[in-house]
Amino acid sequence: MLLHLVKKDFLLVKKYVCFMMLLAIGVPLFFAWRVPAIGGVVSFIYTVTFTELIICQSVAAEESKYPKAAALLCSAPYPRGTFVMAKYAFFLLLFAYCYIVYTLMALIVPGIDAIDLTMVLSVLLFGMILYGIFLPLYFKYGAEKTKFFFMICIFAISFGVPMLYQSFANISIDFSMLASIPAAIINTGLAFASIIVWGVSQGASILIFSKKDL
Amino acid sequence: MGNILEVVGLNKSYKNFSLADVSFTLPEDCITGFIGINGAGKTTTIRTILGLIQGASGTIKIFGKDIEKNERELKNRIGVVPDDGRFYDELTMAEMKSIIAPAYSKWSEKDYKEYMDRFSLNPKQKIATLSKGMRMKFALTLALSHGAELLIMDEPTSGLDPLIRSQLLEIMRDYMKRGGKGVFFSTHITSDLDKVADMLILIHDGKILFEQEKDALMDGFRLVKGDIKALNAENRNLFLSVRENEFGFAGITDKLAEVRRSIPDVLAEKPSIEDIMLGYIERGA
Repeated sequence: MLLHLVKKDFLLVKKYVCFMMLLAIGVPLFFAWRVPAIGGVVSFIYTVTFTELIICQSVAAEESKYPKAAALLCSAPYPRGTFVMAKYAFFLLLFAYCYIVYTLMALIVPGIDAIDLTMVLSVLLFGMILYGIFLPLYFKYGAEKTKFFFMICIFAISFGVPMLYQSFANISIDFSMLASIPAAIINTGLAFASIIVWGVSQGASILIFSKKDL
Repeated sequence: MGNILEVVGLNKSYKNFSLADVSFTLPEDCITGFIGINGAGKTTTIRTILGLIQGASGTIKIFGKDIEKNERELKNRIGVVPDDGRFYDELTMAEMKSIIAPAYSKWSEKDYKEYMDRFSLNPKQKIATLSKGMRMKFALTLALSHGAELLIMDEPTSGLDPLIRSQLLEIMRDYMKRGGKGVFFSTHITSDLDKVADMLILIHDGKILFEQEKDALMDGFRLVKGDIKALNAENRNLFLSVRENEFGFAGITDKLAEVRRSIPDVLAEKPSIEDIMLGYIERGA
């Protein structure tokens, strides 16, 4: 049931799928070409957040064109909770796609840095926080109002990440304490934090959607 | 004969409208017409039955089971034909079917193909390009392809040409022949119900005004026409409603004998469902 609702989201944005595939390939290439110094994890953050935000916002916009379609699906034996969970599963599938594409690109294209598990989980947590805020807002206020959130995120990531990167480049921070923590603990912590964010956000979205008149 | 649907004490309030203590039952093997003018509360009642509206009080039982506690099981046994399709217009019919069908445990691909052929629908056609009649046929195909025992239709004939309306009524008759089923059919086009309905429920301003067998209702009322000069304050009370014009009056009554005693020179005709519906509404207004 869940997968069929995920498929529904893909069908709604099928005209953007090629664009999404190209975007996930294009962003790491652009970084390797124009700013090779900040490749690696930053490049992957951009790949994930742009692909996720653009596609998820497109799905939200398509859904908002047919607000009564959700009522038809919920008149069928699709529980409302499954309808919400499908959106989170959709996010994870997109993330997995971005990761696979990026890893393949790192293997094939010189200049694209490979990323380790800690980096992947960090980006997952970052994306989960963004999406975890976006989805409850979307279920509460609809696509039209939440598109401002989407625009703020795009601006913040476009300008914020390079600024932060430059700031950190000029400040010498002692990461030795962090380096002393075993990677397994950091990874577990990141994965756990992602699951917590996912669980809280999904719970809030289900609560909001279950109280909504369709 | 058991009840397929039982609605008891349904209440739901909005700013300018409320469902007030809505109660009715749908017997098995009956097509029940749910009638009322636009804005009477038909769609709100149906949406509440389907769990699409939250915060309503009351009890809804389908096949004797509480819908709140057995939502998934009961929705599996219901076919829904919404008023305007409620599809994702950018998808093709095959894509829409591929989303809806997995939700039902008894989905029959054979039935689906048979209905698509019967209605001459091309699965590869985009929903946005379908006419209103074709959309209704597709909605009906989805509703009938999973062995539904209760068919809930919200204004399915609204805006359709007479040929398609007639085809729809024919399909409803075929569906009922299988036995053990029920149809709940909301409409403001009461002429469709003259042909197929067994039971009628009238809702107005969020309240149920009557729930009765159609034949008993039609036999119980008469449309009486006579000279306006014969009307007085006393015999007006014998009518549900009276309309007057320069040629005389026409009134709906279920007390024909008393009317004839008071006004011997009247013409009595069998009324239509619409006459009776409007009679009740005008009396309440």
